[in-house]
Amino acid sequence: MTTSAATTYDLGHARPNGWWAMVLFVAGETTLFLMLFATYFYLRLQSRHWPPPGVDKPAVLVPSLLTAALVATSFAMQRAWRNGRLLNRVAALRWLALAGIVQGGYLIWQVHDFVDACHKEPPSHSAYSSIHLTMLAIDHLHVFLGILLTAWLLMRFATRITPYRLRTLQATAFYWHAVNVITVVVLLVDLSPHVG
Amino acid sequence: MTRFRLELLQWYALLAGPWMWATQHVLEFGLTNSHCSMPVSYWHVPVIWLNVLITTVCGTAVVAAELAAFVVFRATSDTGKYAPGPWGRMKFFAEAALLGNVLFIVIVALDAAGAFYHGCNQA
Repeated sequence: MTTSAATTYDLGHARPNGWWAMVLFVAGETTLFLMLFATYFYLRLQSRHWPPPGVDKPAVLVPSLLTAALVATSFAMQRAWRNGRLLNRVAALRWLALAGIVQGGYLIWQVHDFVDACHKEPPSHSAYSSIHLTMLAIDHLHVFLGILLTAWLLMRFATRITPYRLRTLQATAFYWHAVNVITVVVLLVDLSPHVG
Repeated sequence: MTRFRLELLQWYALLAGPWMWATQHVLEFGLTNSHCSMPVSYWHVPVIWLNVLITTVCGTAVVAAELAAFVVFRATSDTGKYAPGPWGRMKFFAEAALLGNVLFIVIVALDAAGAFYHGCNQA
C-alpha cells in the first residue's frame, strides 16, 4: 500500500467532536487531579512530619524509570496516529501494539508495588498514606482506562481502517498524552518529600 | 448573529461555569478559613456579606453562561448531530454547556451553603 498524501483520509482541518469530547473529559479529570494535589500539599502543610515517623519516603528509581517508559508511549501513539492517517494499517497496528505492551507492563508493575504499599501502610493508617495511595490509585485507573482504549483500537485496526476508527485513534492518542503528563506530575508530587 | 459572536458565546458558555465555580470555591475557602484564625477574626470582617457578594457575582455569571449556551443551541439547531467543523463543535459544546452549567449552578449553591454554615471548630 502506498502512503502518499493522496491516499490519506481527508478528515478536514477542524477537529472532530469526538476529539473535543475527549478534551472535555481530560479537563474534568485534570480538575480531579488538581484537587488531589491541593489536598496533598494542604495535608503536608498541616503535618509536622511528612511522611510520618516510621514510614519510608517513596522510592525514586523504579517509579521514575516506569514513568519514563510510559511517557515514551506518547511517541508510539503519535506514530500510530500518523501511520493510520496515511492508511498504513500494519504500521499503525505495530505502533499500537508496542504502546499497549509498554502500557500493560507499566500497569502490572505499578499495581504490584501499589498492593505491596497498601499492605505495608494501609490508607487508614495516616493522612499521608491516605492521600498518597488515593493519588496513585486514581492515576493507575486512568492508565487502565487508556489500556482498554488501546486494546479496543488494536481489535478494530486488525481488520480495517475507517474514518470513525481514525478519529477514535486521534482522541485516544490525545488521552494518552494527557495521562502521561498527569502521571509525570503525580510522580513529582509523590517524590516531593525528598526535596525538603 | 455573526459566527464570531456565536463562537464567543459558545466558549463563554463552556468555560464560565467551571471558572466561576473555581473562583468562588477558592475565595470562599480563603475567606472562611481566615475568619477562623484569631488575628483575622479580631478585624470583624463581614464574612457573611462577602460570601453573599462572591456567590451572587459567580452565580450570576454561571446563569449567564447557561443562557449563552441556550442561545448557541438555538442558533445551531439546523446543524446535524455529527456535523464537522465549527458549527458541529458549537452545537456539541452548547449541548455540553447546557447540561454542565446546571451542575455548576448547583455546585455554586452548595459551596455557598457550605461557606455559610461553616464552623471554626472542625479539624
